[in-house]
Order: sequence, then C-alpha cells, then structure tokens
Amino acid sequence: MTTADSASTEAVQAALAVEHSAIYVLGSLGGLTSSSAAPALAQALTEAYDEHVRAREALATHVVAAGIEPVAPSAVYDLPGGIGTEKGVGAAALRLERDTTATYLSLAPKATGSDRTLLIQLLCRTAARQLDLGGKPTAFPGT
Amino acid sequence: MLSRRTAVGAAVVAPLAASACSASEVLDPVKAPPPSTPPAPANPDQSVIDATVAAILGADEGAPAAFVQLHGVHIEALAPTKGVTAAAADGGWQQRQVALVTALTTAAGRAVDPQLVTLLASAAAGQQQLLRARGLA
Repeated sequence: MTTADSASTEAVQAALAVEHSAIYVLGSLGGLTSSSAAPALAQALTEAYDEHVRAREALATHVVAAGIEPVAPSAVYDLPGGIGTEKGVGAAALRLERDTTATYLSLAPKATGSDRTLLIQLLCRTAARQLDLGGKPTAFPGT
Repeated sequence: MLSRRTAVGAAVVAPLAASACSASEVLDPVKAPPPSTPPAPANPDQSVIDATVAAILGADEGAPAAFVQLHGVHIEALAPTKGVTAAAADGGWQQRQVALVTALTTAAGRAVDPQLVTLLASAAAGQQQLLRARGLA
C-alpha cells in the first residue's frame, strides 16, 4: 500500500469513527423523542439514524476492501447538552449533522479515487439532512 | 538675483533631487524586471474548473432565482477562464440539476489541489441541499 493509499484509507476510517458516534448520539436523541408528541422530529431522527447506519456500512465495506480492519465503535460517547426539551433535541441533531458535514468536507481532500467519491456522496447526504432538521441551504455547506 | 536665503535653499535641494532621480532610474521595477522571475505555472486544475463551470452554465438554463444565485456564487469562487460557455445538456431542467451534483462530485474527485477539492465537494453539497429544499432529492 502506498502512502497515498494509506492516507486515503485513514480518511475513510476517520469518517467511520464519526459515523459510530453519530449513530450512538442519534439513537439516544431518538429515545428522548416522543413519536406522538413530536412526530416530525421523531421521523427526522429515525431517517437520519437509518442513513448514518447505511453510511457506516458503506465506509466499513471500503475499509475491508483495502484489507484493513474497520475501526471499532467506543462503548459510550458523550451526549450533547441541552437535550431536555424537544427543541433542544432538534438543535442537537442539527448540530450533529453540521459537524458531520464539516468533518466529511475536511476528510475529502485526503482521500483519493473511490474513497474520495464515497466521502463526497456522504457529505452531500448529511448536508441535505440538515434541512430535515430545520437547517437552511447554504452555498458552501461544511465551510 | 537670488537672495542669500534662497540660494542656500536651492543648494540643499539640488543634490537631493538628483539623488532621487538616480534611485528612480536604477530601481524602477517596470523598466528593469528581475531576470530570474519565472512565469506563473499553469494551473493543473484549470481544465477541471472550466469543464465544471461549463456544466453549471449548461444546467442553469431556465433555473429559478435561487439556483441562479447559488451557481453565481459557485462560478465566482471557481474563477474559470474568461469566455467559458455552457456545455450542451440533455434532459429537462430537473434532470440537469440532479446530474449537476454528479458532475460536481466527479470534478472534486479529479481535482489535484486540496482547496479545489474542498470547494467542489462543498458546492456539490450546496446543490444537494437546494434540491432537497425543492423536493427534488
């Protein structure tokens, strides 16, 4: 494996670590949200959770294809503060998607070939999900 | 006839003026450019930039104001070669807008400069956001 290949795989591994964290946090936020009292937020969180799980699988597949063991999730992650209300949960979920967008954007130049393409595709999806959680379109998401 | 004070003043100023003229002739950067300055290298990504801007212009025909504004920002940031024209585009406006995400993603995959990769990838994400906002993705 060349240095460039190694850096590319490291970028995918870093994205995978972010997805592990996002899945844990979104699962927790979903558990705090009532589907009867806040159906729109509950649905947005469920869809975001499912999409992050798919992203995790896609990233892990790329790492395995490179002959490397995918980074494992931690047993526990810190939850964001201010999640005692529906509004706080929604804001925390939007922050998570914005942070994930910024992370993908910072990792994309470090990757090459199909790794970079995958990271950009996942970047586009997480940027679009911001709108489901109350975000507004911007010319350059993640910057 | 000059007064004594004027004559002394002229005598002081004259050498300074002569000195300033001499320095100007020696150091004028327009007249004497440093011979070792190499020409600016060609941007290896210029073809990617121009093709991307052509794709944006091709997809933008008949676009709503929000898309025109968005892509105006994108084009300005990319700094294409002057005179780039719209690429021929197939399909309806919605199809072209969806295809533009792919075009921007592909361009980001080809770019060499990390900053250009970031710019194109973020532009793709911006386009995806606007498609989602209009219910197209």
